[in-house]
Amino acid sequence: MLHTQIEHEEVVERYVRNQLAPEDRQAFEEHYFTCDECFEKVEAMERLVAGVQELARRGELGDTERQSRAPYGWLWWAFAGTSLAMMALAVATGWAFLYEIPTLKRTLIAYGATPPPQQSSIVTISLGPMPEANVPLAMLQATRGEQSTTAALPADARQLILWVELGATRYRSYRMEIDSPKGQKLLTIDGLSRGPYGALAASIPTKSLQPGVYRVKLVGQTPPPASLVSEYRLRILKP
Amino acid sequence: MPGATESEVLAGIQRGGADSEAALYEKYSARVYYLALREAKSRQDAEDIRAETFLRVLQAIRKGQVRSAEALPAFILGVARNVIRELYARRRQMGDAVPAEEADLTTPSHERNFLDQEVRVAVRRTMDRLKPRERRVLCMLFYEELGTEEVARQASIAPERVRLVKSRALKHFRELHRRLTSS
Repeated sequence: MLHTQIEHEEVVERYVRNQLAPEDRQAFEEHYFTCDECFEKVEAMERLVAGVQELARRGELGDTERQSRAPYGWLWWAFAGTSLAMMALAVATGWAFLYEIPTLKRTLIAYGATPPPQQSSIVTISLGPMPEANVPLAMLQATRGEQSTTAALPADARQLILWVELGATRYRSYRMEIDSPKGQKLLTIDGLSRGPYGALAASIPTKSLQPGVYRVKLVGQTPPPASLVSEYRLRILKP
Repeated sequence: MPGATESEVLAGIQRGGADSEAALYEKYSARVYYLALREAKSRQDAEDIRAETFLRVLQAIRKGQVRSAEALPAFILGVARNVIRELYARRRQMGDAVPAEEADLTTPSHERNFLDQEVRVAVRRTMDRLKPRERRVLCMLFYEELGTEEVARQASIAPERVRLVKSRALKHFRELHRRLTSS
């Protein structure tokens, strides 16, 4: 690998950010094992990236206005959306009880009909889990390198099933932790245990997943002490 | 053996020279450790990988299995990769776990492994020297993990400008970090 190529193709940065193809990564590793300058650069870039990430994660980059909001941006919008929906529902319910139902009753009486007993106006609607066809499934591969399992989510998918095949461990149950591409805790699923095929399976709502590479950690829970069992990378693609 | 060539180091180790072994370690240990840390994401594992790698490399050199000095860096890299692969395989087989106190699940492993006091100070000073807009560029690149083109589009600047911000920041950081560690 030549220095001109390394400079021109931003190989150092792409290596640090795990964006090189496996063959390019190997070629660059072979290069920096012989080149002091490139090794110094790659170490420096690794540290700089880690440092910037830490400052941003802690919200210490001051005037970069979006960074402190970014990890929770979706949460803010979700909260705002939910609040608006609740307000709309309250207005609609109030309107129905205070205006629409009395008007209908008066109309019924005017036409000589007997109003139904009060309790029959209470309607219970039971919404069970909705069936879903073609649920996407990602089989997480046990690797600690930069390779990731890719899950392409169809636009209408509501759930993503994560499937983890584990070797023998001393644990009976596990906790799955999913970190967003920015390193924020996104989801935690407790009490996972092996199914009849010896694997762990969990479903997660796709609305909480944006395109990017997520880190999935599997922590053994019982018997204590808890410890990290394996770590996976999950790349989410959306249309 | 400061300034010794690869051939001299190789020949020295084959003759049983401890200073040649030290020279080999001096030259490659940081590289092996860095590679191991990137892959294993644990300092303890990285140290184990480094130790095992050098043990195997030295044994191979002493047995005359490494004849060409030019091939030495690639040979060390190959051994390190094998040791890392074996560690993964052993982990999978045993369902081995990283101790909880070492795992520190609240901090991304990347930060945990590559940051120390000098790095933090150098990064902070580097960021302080940048304009807010340039800080924002680095944040988009390294934290939000956007590509150069996308950062340029969002910041309404040319991609070359993004590359310039990156290279200037890296240059400042390297200088500051070098000064901090040498003092």
